[in-house]
Amino acid sequence: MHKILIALLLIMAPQVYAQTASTASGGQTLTVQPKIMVIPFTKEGEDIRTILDQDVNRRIAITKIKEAFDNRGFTTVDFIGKVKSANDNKVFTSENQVDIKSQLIQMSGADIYVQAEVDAQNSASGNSVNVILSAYEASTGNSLANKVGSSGKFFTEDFGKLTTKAVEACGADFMTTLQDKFTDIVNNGKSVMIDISFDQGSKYKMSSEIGNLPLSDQLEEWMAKNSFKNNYHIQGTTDMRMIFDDVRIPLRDQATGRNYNSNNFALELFKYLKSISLDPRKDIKGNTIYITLK
Amino acid sequence: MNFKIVVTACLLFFTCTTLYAQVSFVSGEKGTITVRASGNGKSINEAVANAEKDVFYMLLFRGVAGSEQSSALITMREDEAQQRYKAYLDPLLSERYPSFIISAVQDGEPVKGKHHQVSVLLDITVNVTALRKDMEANQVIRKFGF
Repeated sequence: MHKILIALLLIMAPQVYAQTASTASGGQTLTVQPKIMVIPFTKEGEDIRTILDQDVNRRIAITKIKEAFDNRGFTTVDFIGKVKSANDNKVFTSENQVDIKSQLIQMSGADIYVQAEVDAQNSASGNSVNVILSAYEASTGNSLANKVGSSGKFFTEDFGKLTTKAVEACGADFMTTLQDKFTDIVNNGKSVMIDISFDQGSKYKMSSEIGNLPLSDQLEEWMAKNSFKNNYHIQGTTDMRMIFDDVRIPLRDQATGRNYNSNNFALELFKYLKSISLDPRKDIKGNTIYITLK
Repeated sequence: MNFKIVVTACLLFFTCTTLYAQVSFVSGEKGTITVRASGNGKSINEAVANAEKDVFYMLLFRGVAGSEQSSALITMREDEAQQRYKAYLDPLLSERYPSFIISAVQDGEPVKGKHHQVSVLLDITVNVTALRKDMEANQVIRKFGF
């Protein structure tokens, strides 16, 4: 009976993981591109969900920045669409603007967000608009590109046109800096954050000896061997938690050439923790990996 | 005697060498760049061609300071790029580059110098967007993104 079952499994297994003919691409792999969302900067007292309804200059700035991405053949995540979707799905759990922004970025799935700040200046010698563009990695907070564009002073009330000039003044440079950072990511890996903690009631701590080393050292050794080009950074370690705030993983699996993402890396870490007789649970939000040990 | 021949040869070499043109930014908008470039050659046509080629050399390997193209289009080492993309770069810098030039306007009269050299000053407008897309299509540079 057992032999029949094993034989059946052996026959079925290749079919479970076989390539579906409908999606076959002859082994071609297209590198997964980052999801980028352009969002408005908001000051104290402003609501990121409604600010674009009230300020046409910010709408112009965001549209011009998206146009810069479009001109380079890159599709961005639509901010307004995501706000609507978040409202419809009642994603926002608090009215704190910092939380709303974080929740919005998280539910959008954006890997990178570009924040656009518009500053209109009135003066007797002419009006001008300054635009500050900042691009950040959503998971690590790493800054990727920062540019300030100025329209110059003109005797005009058309702040829309001044905003357009300000964005055009720094847009190309901003895209070039962003592309330089992408080149760095292609060559040296993309950043993920790993947060390792314990379940309430867990008998383990970071100082618990696993094998002949404290768990925190075991984890660091594993990270040193398995991060891409040995590139990782520890934010901090306590007895209850260890945070690697910047671990580089390759864009492609170095063995198979396939796309490689935070899920794949989390799985490797999961398998390792199981191999040293721990009971892990993994939770992945974008490029942040949460590991909870029972 | 041999020493005198060597010294004479060196002097002739250095006095006859064509200097690289100077390229400076004039203006730029919506995917184009206008630069002022000087070129030298044995004829006006040759001087114009050298000025134009040097503009492309600067765009590819140096960038144009003060412009939106302040970074080079090719970010790898120059000698490595020349070798790896020889099949693309050689035809581009010898024959294909005029197709990316929107205009080349001579500024002033050509100047005749020593050893039958002619110098010209040109304002050259290049379609950088088209050049970038051509390089992306030929996989010399990556498209925007990963």
